Amino acid sequence: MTDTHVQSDPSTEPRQTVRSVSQQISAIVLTEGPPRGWWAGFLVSFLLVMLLLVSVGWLFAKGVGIWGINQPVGWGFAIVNFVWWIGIGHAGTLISAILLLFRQEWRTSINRFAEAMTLFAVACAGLFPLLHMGRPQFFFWFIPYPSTTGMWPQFRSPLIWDFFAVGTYATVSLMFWYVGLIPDLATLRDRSRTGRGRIIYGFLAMGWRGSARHWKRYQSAYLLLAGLATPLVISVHTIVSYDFAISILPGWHATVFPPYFVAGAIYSGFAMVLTLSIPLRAVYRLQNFVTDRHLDNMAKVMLASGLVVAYGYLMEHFLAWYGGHQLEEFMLLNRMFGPYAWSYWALIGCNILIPQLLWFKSVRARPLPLFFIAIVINIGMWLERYVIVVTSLHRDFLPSSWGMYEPTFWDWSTYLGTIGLFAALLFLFIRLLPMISIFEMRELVHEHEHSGGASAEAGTS
Amino acid sequence: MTDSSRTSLAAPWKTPCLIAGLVGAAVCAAGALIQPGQFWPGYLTAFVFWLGVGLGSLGIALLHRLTGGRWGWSVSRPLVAGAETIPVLFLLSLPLALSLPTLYAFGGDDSHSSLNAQQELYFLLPFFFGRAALYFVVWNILSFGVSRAYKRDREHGVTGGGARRAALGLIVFWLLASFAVFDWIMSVDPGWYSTIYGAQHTMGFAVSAFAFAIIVRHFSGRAASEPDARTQDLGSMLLAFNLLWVYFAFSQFFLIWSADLPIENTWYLRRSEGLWAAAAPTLAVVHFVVPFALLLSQDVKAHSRRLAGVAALLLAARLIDLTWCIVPAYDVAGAMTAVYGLAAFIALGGLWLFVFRLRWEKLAILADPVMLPSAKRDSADSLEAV
Repeated sequence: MTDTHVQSDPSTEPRQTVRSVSQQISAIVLTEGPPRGWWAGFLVSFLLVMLLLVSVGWLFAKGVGIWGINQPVGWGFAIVNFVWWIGIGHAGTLISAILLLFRQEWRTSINRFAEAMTLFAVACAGLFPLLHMGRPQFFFWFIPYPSTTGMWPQFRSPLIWDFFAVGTYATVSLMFWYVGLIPDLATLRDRSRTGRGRIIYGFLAMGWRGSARHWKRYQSAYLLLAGLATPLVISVHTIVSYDFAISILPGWHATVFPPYFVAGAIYSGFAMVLTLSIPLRAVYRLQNFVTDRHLDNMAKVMLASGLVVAYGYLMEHFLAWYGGHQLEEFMLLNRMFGPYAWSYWALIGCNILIPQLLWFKSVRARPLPLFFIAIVINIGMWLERYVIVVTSLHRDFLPSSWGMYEPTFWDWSTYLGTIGLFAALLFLFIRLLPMISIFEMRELVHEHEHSGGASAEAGTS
Repeated sequence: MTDSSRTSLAAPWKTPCLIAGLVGAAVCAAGALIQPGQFWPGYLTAFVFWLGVGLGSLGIALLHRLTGGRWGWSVSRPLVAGAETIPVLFLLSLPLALSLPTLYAFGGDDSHSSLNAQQELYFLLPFFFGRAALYFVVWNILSFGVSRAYKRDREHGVTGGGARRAALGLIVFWLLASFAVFDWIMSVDPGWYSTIYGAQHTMGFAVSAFAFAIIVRHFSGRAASEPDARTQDLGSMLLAFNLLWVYFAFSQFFLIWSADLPIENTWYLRRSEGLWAAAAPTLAVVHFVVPFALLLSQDVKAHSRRLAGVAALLLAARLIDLTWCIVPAYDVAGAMTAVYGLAAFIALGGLWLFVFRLRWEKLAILADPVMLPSAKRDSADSLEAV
């Protein structure tokens, strides 16, 4: 979409050297104290984590009745938030694995951070189905183990597939993130000036010495993990979409759901990466690593995935009209003009209308509007899941079984609490680990120095 | 790589194509007159197949203009030539106007009972023909744009310009292709609908077109006989397009199977009766398992000849898929449908290839910008993720 040529807009600043890269990124962790904003942000998120603990404690004491769920809306906030967080978790793997395989070198300065975001988002997501179970202490019934009672999970249920899909995703993401961290942990070990830092980072670096053999092993492991993680980007949200689409409920059962959910996940994931990286790069003065070009590229990916989501809406609407199926038609009219119409129109505004501003280069080039659009998209993608879950369930086939859904204080507090958990983990991550991959940036700088800013193989070798 | 090898491999196409096209057309004319019920389903299948090659070329050419990337440059010439065949595809679609009473519930006089009120409205003949005209007009405009940009690149070197227009073009292209699929393919089963069907077939068009472009590139002598990275890129992209198709097709099947609603499952039930029962497992093998396994191997996808072999298999798989999607909808179709279908496939294919070949000759070879130092970074930098 850029008419200017890419060369004029590199993914690192030209004046960077190998030494300055190591220095600048590791200093955030090792030498500089946390800025005042860090303390303020961490305090707020820590308080929200306390709110989460209170909410979960109360939930365990009283049961899921403290939430607004009931017949006919049995899923409510728990599933809305689960899908929202899982979707956000997709950007990390997409950026890390797929862009790596596609040799997109601009990914280098955002991948570490996006992977961490993925892990924390998946952790938040995983909480909700467990809490929603009512008896979370029996969560292991999901696991098909040969017990004496002969109880097996229902293998035809997508909720069981979710358990495996999300479990695999969390495991592979963690491995990918950790393996990618090892050379940097060694850098921190070597640069650390305290004995404690040397011991902890040295322990985590697993004896990394940077020998040629280490690098060779590292590269094959990293590429293999990237290959493993790539199908997971598609599979996890496909299975999440099956949670809905396999049913026969109007508004849930649509064959377009799998690709449209995956696109929505990428959409919200990139929106969250932008929401976090714009303030971070301003606070830590990382504009020379997370350049305007990164923001521009992420905005473009967001625009493209948002248009796929819009295509999904269009197909759903057109074919509900075309099919002339009474229940499908009613479902859409109810969404548009029923009691939850506000959520539908807000969703259209947030997910489809406002993001069209991203067509303009002047919008993509300014961090502030971009930041606001990213937040609007985060809200829009939450509303999308709210619309799908609540409006489809609250009026289904029989008018006698219709009902309304109202989230309670505890619904909101649990949701806000997970946002706090996510933020708190991110603050700790920024404080304790290098948020940008030091060695990959060094490699990038090295290649730019030696090829005059040109290498077709960068990022993979 | 030499000119002589190119002409020796590619030049003999033209006349045989034209002759095959004309002979096939004669058989088709006879079929249309004698047994319209058996003939038209075969013609529609053949038409959609070749339409897919042309339209898919347009779509991928737009996509490459938007994203750039090394994979596209080595097939941009066949893709642009394919996109330029859209006028002839329009001409080849005209006979279908005679087929409406046979092929579509809305084409007959008294068969309206199987359509609901909205479909009656949507398929009012003036509206239906108006839409078809709109599709072709817009696709033609887009194909003009693509070939003009190609020529501009040829004259001035690749600038990477026009990406914004390509993005808009791609959106319009994708929407119209989806609706064309609804109008011409989904409607063979009156009343049935699936929200992913437009995307699924449009992706199928992309598979056809990319497979075709890979074959043309192989026979044009532009491909190295040794394994090379450029060819491997093409193999990876073919794998990606095909996997997307598989993903869409499987999702549709899986969701309809699991919900098992009578308004939807009839589509699959019809297509698992009699001999058709063999089609879906065959597709699973030739459209997914075999090409997937082969395209994972660098040994296959980096060799132009082997890659062209996989592409040919995928083209055959596309034909099986389209036949399976279209023909079982017709009770009147029978053994002669296969004969007429083959004749139509040859007729349309011969004429289409003849025109393709003419367009292809007219397009000067575009120097691969990846070779040029000024654009060397383009391959690594541009957004290739779709």
